[in-house]
Amino acid sequence: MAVIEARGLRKVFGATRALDGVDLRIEEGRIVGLIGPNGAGKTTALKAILGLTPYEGELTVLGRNPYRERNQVMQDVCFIADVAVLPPWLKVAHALDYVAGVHPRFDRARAESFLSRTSIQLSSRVGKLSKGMITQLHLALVMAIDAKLLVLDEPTLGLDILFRKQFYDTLLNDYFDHNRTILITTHQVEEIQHVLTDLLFINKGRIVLESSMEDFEQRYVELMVNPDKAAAARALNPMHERQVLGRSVFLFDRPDRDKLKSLGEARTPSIADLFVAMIAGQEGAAA
Amino acid sequence: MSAAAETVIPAAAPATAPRPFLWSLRREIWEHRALFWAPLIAGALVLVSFVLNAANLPDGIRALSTLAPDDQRTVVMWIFLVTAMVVVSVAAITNAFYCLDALHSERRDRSILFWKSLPVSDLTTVLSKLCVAALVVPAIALAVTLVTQLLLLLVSAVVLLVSGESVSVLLSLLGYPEFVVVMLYATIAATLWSAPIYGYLLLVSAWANRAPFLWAVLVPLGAAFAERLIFGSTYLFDTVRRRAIDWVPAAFDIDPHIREMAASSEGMHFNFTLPEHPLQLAAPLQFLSSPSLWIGLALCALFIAAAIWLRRYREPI
Repeated sequence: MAVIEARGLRKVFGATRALDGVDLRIEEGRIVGLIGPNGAGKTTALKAILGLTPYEGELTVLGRNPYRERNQVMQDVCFIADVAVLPPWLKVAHALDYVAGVHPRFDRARAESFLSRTSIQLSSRVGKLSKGMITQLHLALVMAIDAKLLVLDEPTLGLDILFRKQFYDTLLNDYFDHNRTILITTHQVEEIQHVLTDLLFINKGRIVLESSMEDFEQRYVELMVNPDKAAAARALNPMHERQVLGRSVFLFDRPDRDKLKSLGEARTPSIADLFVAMIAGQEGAAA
Repeated sequence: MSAAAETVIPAAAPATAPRPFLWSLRREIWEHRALFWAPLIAGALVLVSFVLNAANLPDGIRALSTLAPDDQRTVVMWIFLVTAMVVVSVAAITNAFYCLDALHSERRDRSILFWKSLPVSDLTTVLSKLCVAALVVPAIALAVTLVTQLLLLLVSAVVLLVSGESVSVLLSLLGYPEFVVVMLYATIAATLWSAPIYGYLLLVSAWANRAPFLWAVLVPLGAAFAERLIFGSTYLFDTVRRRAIDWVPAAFDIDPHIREMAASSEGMHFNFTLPEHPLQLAAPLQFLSSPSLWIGLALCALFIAAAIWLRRYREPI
């Protein structure tokens, strides 16, 4: 069953097309990275999925219209919209009480066990916690909810690398299972490469790449060549070329791998490099 | 497939059923602790000022015992009434600020995105806030008033006993239980009567992106001013004023007593004699059949529906 399905999803703010006909399908049990430059429509897409904004086109989340049937959809969907949206006056113990009181699928013991691994005190107020601790608290609350879909919008924004690493490790080891689906947006693309099962690139309100990580690894090849073989590599029609320490790095889409091997070192590109190649290529075509 | 999913979920779920409304109420009280503290402090101040003047109490009682029983009762009841008015006014002002903040602060600190990530509908959320303004705060005000009054009574009794004065004046307080019923009725009547004010403040709170207090004050003030300039009338101003204070004549049959007061006020220290049975003044049928009450409640419902709509369908921030 598709957890999220969109067809021709559109959203216009004045003259800007935030979403310009998005088609996508996210299956159950996937961890999907939604990646795009600022203003590409990521947040708008997430808001539409979470029923926070009206839209044109077709969109179903867990088989329902998220805008009209938001109350039902939110029984099975949870999200972290941004860092530090927990109100400063809230006490940690009260936050646990509240979520336990309103959410039928919140496991309080689980949340407490997450918190016990942090230095967060139950008697503290959110306003007294550091940014990293607030995110840990929010994550502890959300990960103790047995939701079918978890949406994370820049969950690690403003956190240091230690917290970020911990965040994704916890997410992967303690939360994820194959009945759950996670949709993540982030600018720190490199850090989630090993976490994702699927990849969505969005640019100017359109999905420009929809791929599983297996396909991604089979399809794209990054080739590093010495200057003397650069021309030969260029002849194989790479999608992108950049210079690194006097050598050329080419990115190929479905190349003949045997041919590449004779020219230099071939490897799987990073998501970030593919992203730059695709988005930069689009910008070039548009100019 | 769905059958399999249903058999798994209850096993993981906690035993208690979710109670979003109850927890939304608690949430409001965690956030707005002033709703408790302000009336409590007001009650405490009344009590403290009474205790500080306790030395004058025996003289006062001696003077009081020369009055006729009706007047004795009126004086004592006036002290109680003033206590109630101080506590209730403070509670009402706190309540107004609460209403203005209730749907605004969550947007200001973006915590609305957290609340909206949980399965609590906008209907539940807004109604819980209305319930705090229209039920919880009046109940707190009434409880604090009653406790303060009982403590005043206790202090008086102790002072009188210590100073060797007769406590017979306190017998005039035999009507106190009835007075409590009157206060309960007054609280309910005042709350129902002023419901459109709370509804309006909650709507402004949900609508204004900044400075809800200014919007809440300036919009009706500007409209009333415009009416005065354009039509030369004061209909709007009168309506708002009536809404704020006219619940007394609407809920109580006080007209005959006011006339009596005008006729016999010379030489009196108080211009309103409470009847021996103040409950007689209560006019619930007159109150419940007054069109103003129902128009006000309908307006309140309209404002609240608009506030729910705004919280539900407008972009959170």
